[in-house]
Amino acid sequence: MRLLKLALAGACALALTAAAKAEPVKIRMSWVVPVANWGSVILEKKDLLTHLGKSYTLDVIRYQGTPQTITAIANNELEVASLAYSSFAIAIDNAGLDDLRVIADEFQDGVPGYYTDQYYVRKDSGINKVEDLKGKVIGTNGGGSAVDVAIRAMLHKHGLEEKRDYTMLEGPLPAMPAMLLEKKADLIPAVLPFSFNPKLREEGRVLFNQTEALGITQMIILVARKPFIDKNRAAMVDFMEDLVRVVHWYLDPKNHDEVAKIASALTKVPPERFGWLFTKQDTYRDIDLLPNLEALQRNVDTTRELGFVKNKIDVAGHSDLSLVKEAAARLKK
Amino acid sequence: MARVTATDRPNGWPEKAARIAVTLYWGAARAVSVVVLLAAWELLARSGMFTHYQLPALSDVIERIWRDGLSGDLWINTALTLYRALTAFCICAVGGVLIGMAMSRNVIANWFFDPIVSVGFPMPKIAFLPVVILWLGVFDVSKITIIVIDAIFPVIAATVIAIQGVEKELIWSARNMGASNRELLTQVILPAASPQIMTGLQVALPLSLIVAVVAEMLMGGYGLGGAMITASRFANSTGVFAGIVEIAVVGYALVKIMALARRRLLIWHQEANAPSTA
Repeated sequence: MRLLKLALAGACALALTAAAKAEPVKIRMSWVVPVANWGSVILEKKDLLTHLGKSYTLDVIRYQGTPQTITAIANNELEVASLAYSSFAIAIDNAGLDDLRVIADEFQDGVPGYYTDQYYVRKDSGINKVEDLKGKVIGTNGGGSAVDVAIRAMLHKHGLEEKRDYTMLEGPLPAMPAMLLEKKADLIPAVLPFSFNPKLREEGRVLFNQTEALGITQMIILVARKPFIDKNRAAMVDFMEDLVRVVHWYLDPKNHDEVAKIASALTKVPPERFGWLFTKQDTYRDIDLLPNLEALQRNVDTTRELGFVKNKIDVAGHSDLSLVKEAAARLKK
Repeated sequence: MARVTATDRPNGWPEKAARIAVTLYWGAARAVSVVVLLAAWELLARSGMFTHYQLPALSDVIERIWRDGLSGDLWINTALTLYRALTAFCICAVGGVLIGMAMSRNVIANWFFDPIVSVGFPMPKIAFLPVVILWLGVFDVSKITIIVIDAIFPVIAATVIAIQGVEKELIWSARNMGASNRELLTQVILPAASPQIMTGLQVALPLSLIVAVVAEMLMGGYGLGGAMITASRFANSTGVFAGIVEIAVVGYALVKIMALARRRLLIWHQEANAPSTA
C-alpha cells in the first residue's frame, strides 16, 4: 500500500512538472503610438508568429504614455515595453529600475537617407536662426519626451535656456501644427505623420531638424527586466525570432500595399495616406531589430546634461542584445 | 471613549478655558485617524515591502514640499490652481443661483433649462475637455470653462430645490403684507432658501478644485495638477505624492473656509450650526 502511495505521488509530481514545462510564458508587450510601435501591429501577422501559443503567449496593451508604461514595468505588469531614450534613462535613474535592459530597436531618427524630425517656425515669424527664439514660446508634447530633449539640446547649443530665455508650452503632438499656425507657439516639433500637413508646409518653415540637434537618435527601444529575461530566456528568444520575422515582413517593399491596409484599419485613416510608411520617407528601422547603442549612449548623456536624470547611465551595461542576435541568426539559417 | 463636554469642566476652571480644552480635545481626537494613516505610510515605506518609486516615505514627501516651498514652485502652482478653481467657482455661484432662480420663478426659463440640467447633471462633463481645448485652446480660459461646466450643476439644482421648498406660509404672509415680487424674492425667498443654496455651493467648491486639478493634469502647464503630471512623467513618485498631500491640504482648507463662511452668513438661521461638511 505504501509503495502504491509513493508511486501515485511520484506520478503526480511528474505530471505537474511536465505541465509546468509545457505552460507557455506569458509576455505582455506595450505600445503607445499605433503603427509606429511594433506592439500595435505584431498580432496582425499571427501567421508569422510560429512560437505563439507554444513557448509563449502574447498580450499587447496600449498605454497612454511613458509614465504609465514605467509604472507597469515597475509593478511587473509588463514584460516588454517601448520606451524613448529619455524615458529609458528616467526609468533607470528616477524609478530605480536598474535591472532594465535594452533588448531591441524600434526606430532611429536621423539615419542618413531616412526621415529626421523637423522643427517648424512660421514663415512670417521673423525667426531665421535658433538665437531668434529668445523670448519666444516653444511647443512641446511634455518635458523629458524625446522631441522635448531634442529641442532643449538644440537651444542649449545656442546658449538659450528654458524659463530664462524661452517658455515651453505643452500640447499634444497632433495639435502642434495648429498651435504654430494660430500663433500660440513660435516653434513646434513636427513628427510623422503630422509633418506632412500641407498647411504647415505652406505657411511654416523648418528651422532645424533633429539630426542637427542630436545626431543620430535611437528614438524608441524595446526593453525588458533582467530577472524576466534570465528566467525565460528560451521563450524570449522564440518571441524575438517571431518579432524579427514580422518586422522583415512589414519592411519588405512588396508587402507595402497590405501594410498600408493594416495601418489604415488600425488608425481609420485612408490607406493611400500611408505611402511613406516603412519607406525611406519614414524613420529608420533596423531589419534585425538591432539598436544603435552608441547613439543611445549619446542620447542618454544629453538627457542627463539637461538635468532630467542625475547619474550617468552605462547603456552597454543596461543592454542584452543576445536575444535579438540569436533570433536573427536563427532566421538566417 | 468617555465623552467630554463643556459642562464636565473641573471645579474652578474658567468657562472659556474649559471650552478651549474641549475644543482641543476633540480636535486632537479627530486627528488621530490621520496621524495613524501618516504613521502607517512612513512605516510601510521604510519596511522594504515597497520600492521608493512605488511608495516614497512621508518624510521624503514632506522634504520635497519644503523644497518646493523654498523654491517658490509650491506657491506659484497653488496660486494658479486656486485662481482657476475660485474664478470658476464664482462664475458657478453667480450663474448657478441666477439660473436656479430663473427656473424656479419663470416657466419659460424652466422649460428651457430643465432638460439641459436633467441631461447634463449626471454626465461625466470632463468628457467635454477635448472639445473645450479645440474651441478655447490650452490656456486658463479652457480650464476655467471645463470647471464651470462641471461645477455649476450642483448650484443650479440646489437653488431650484431650495426655492421650491420655501414654506408657502412665508410667501402668503409676505404677499398679505403687500410685498412686491422683488421684495418677495430678495427679502423672503432667497433668505429662506439660502441654507440649501449654501449647501450647493459647498458641493461646488471642492468640485471646482477637483476639476481644476484634473484639467491641469490632462492639459499640462503650471498648477498643482500640472506639477503632479510632470513629476509622474519623470518617474518622480515623491513629487506625485507631494502633489497629493498639497491638494489634500488645499482642499481641506477650502472646505473649512466654506463651512466657516456658511456659519457666518447664516448666523441668523437655525441650520447655521449644522453645515453638511463642517
